[in-house]
Amino acid sequence: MKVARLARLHLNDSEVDRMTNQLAGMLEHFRDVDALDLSDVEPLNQPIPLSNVMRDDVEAPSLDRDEVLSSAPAAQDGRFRVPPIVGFEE
Amino acid sequence: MTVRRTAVDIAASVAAGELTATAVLEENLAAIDAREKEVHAFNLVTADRARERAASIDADVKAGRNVGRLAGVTVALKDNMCTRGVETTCSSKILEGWKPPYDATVVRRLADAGAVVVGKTNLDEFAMGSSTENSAFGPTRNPLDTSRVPGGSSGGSAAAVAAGFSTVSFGSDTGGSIRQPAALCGLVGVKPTYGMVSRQGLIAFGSSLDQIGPFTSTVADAALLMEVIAGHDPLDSTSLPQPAPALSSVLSQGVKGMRIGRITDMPEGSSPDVLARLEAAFDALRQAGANVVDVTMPSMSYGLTAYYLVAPAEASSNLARFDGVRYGLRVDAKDLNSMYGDTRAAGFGDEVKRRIMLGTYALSAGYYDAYYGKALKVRRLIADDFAKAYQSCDVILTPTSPTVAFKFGDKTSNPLAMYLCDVFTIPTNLAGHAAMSVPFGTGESGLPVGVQVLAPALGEAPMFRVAAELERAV
Repeated sequence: MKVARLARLHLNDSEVDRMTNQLAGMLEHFRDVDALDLSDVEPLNQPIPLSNVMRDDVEAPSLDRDEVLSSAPAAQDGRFRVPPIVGFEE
Repeated sequence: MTVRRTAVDIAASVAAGELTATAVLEENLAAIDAREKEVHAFNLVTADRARERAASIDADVKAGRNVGRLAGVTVALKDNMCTRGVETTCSSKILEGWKPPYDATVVRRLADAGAVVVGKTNLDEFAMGSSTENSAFGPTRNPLDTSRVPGGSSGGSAAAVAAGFSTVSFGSDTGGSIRQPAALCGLVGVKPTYGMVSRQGLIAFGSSLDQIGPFTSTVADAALLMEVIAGHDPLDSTSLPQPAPALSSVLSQGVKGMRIGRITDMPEGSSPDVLARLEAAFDALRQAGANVVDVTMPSMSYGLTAYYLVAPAEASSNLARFDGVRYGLRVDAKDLNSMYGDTRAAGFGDEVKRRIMLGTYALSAGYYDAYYGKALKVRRLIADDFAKAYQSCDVILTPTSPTVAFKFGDKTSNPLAMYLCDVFTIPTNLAGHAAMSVPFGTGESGLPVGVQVLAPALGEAPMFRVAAELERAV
């Protein structure tokens, strides 16, 4: 349940039961790596030796605002419109 | 069944005025009319747009204007690549109806080269699956035997080429999603070196693993497409700062003196028909003058665990953007957090939810080191194993998939059984290397078997040389 909340997924009780079982089965399988000695191994985060790739700081046209907002579920005054953010505790 | 034309032939004939782009397209549209209902390769067929495009290429040829290297070649695009103004869904209800405001870099490069887009193809939702059974819009069937899956997640793209709906197609490969369906549908499928092809406009699944690549009927077609789509893109910060490799020119070089690696401690579980074809592939390369050398990959079988922690972790983060705010589905609710939770619960399918949960768990405080952190260390071991193996060989051969195409429903009840389909393809993505699947004869029930050629990062040239030799030997 806590994981579902962190993932912003409202699951019903039967989904939670099924997923809890399936995830437990997978995590059990994933214990196979406990057989490896990983104490001196450096983690590999990504496969290529590039870092902090920046472009030159020059102005360039961006996406058209109206075109972007036209596919939003709700928009108003050139912005995305969302339900109230504060004042509604879970 | 229509004769399958190659991209190389079409481009040459259309540019020379011997064949029209319109004629090529109409053959594909006729095949779609005849069989798409049964195969379901597409989420969307863009016939009108394609006809306009083909007509404009034909007009360019007539007027003597330059038409590009893919003039008149029909392509199908996996429906996770953004196409401006054309619905892009990732086969998910959460994006149904969304029309991107821009084209992916690959889509733009294909258009510039004169290709004609026929439609957007079906996939496992957000590319999560190995059979295309996880699509929110229903499964794709294997055109070679419609009681079987086409593989996945790029199953629609593979089926489109296998059924003659398009000359070639494109998919994305995070853990085998191009190579495995290529093998199951009897096609060539390429997973380029990480960073070789721009990911800009590819809807992200596992950002450190994803690459776009082609499905083709021939190795030469795959080489041509790679030359068109590869090369640096300033819009993708993980794009390698170098031009596309020359591949068409290496295909006739043969494999004399090349060293072909054979893994002696390969993960078990492949069916005998698949292993027999792998042996035949080694024999064919020996006959052509290559040397087969033994190598070991002691951590290869742990790749599955590393992958199914790293990929869901990255996915749980990437898919956070589907929250009902900027695009796609929204389920209205009284406050923002409820809207997020309700929208995502209604919009995502089972497998996507499962992987988001798994990834969120693996990244959560208290479990990070035990799962995600450990997976990254295993990832290093796999890269080290490859580095050691490639000291004594140029490429490595394995099966692409442990079995030929399986039947619908065979693996849907057990997610782990489905994950095991990827045991040979996953290590390449973890290491960021190149690999491709080449059809090499048939196995059980006369279905195609694919042999996988693995190469180190930027090893596309030797990889294509070996693939071309295998194609000649079939």
